[in-house]
Amino acid sequence: MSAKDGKAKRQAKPTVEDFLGAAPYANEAMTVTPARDGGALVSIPMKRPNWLVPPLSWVIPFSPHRRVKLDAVGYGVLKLCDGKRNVETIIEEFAESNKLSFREAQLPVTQFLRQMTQRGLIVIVGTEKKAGIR
Amino acid sequence: MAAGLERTCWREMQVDHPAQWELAVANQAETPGRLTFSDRRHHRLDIKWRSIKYVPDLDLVLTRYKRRSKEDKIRYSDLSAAPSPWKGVVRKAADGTVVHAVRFYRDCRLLTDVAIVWPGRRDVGLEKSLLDSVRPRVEDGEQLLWQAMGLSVHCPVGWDLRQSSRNVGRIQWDFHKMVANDKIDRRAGMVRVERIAMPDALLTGRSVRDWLVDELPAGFHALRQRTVPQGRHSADELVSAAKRGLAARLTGNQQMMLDMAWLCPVEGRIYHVQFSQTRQDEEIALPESWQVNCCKAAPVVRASRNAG
Repeated sequence: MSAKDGKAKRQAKPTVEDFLGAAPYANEAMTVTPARDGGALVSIPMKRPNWLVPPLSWVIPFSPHRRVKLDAVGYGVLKLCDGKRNVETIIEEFAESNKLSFREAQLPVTQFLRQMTQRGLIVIVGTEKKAGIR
Repeated sequence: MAAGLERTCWREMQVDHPAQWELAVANQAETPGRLTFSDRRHHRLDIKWRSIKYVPDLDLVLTRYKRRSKEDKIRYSDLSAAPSPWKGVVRKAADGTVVHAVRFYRDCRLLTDVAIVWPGRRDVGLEKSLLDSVRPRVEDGEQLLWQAMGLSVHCPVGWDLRQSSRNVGRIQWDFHKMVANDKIDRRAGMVRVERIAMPDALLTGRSVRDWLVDELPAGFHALRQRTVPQGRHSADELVSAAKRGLAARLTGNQQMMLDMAWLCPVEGRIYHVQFSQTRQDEEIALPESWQVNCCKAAPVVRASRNAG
């Protein structure tokens, strides 16, 4: 496979089928502190940016951790992101536990997975055979 | 209705479709009629309809469609398996088949166009029963059934669904009474019906009764609360009134609101019916013939994985 082919393959937009078959993995470096209300406080270690050196670091605050507070529903979904379940299975389990139809559950779960990916809590890995977006 | 099928009644049209095909698109008021159903991966059924004054020549429509298809080098064949008087074509795609069928309902002058997508094998039996079930909706005595998105409401004839919204687990329909020239009768008030999923997340430990009070819009105050029977359940009812402004004091009018909510244990959903009206007294009651149907069994999600 040439470099050009590889680039084209990486840029291919994943289909619904690809996304449903992909598996979310939780960030192993994060620490989860369960809360009393069923939610959790998730802390993710952050790498200090290379440009954040004195004197900039004296005036720009930097926290070595990013904290994300999840409610009970969100924490429930995060617990399902174990790398063994794919997105479709997570949506199914979420729908069954909340008495929702598949489409009703699909939108909130996919939006939540996207937000968790942006915040670094999880990473979604597509299977190379199906998605070509590894 | 055949087993395994679910009925959707939306505006002028009704259709029986597989329960796994969920409603993805439904037209709003004053827009051309449209219903689109999809399963987990594909759009499966698209129904479009519009009212026309003349009687269309469907053969001419099909001839033009075939000519265009030939020009675009699209493979097609005549739809021979459709129940009469449906006419149409079957288009071959790379990984499936698309069936286009068209029919004109003379009584209500509705031109209806249906597209059915078969990603794998074409199910001619299901296709026939789908086309057979597509028909203009009929009034049920003095009531009209609206059934879609998991909500099922019998409303009095003369009321129309003017606005609908579907947020995460929350379906909301707003009905208004219509008068001549398709105008809203503001004096008759508005009925809002909501179906809310995940009640634990919504109530956060409160009772439905307390939730109703907390949900009151700004400027409204509760007047009285009671429990009323609602089908097999008991509903909490709350009557509230808006604070009167100067104009309202002069005219004697007051914005009144009646809220009714109950938790359906079978569905695990909260149903909320709200009737708001400008009145001169405080005796507000939901107009007769309104009926909100609940107790529909929860969907079996895993069973729908490879269905259709």
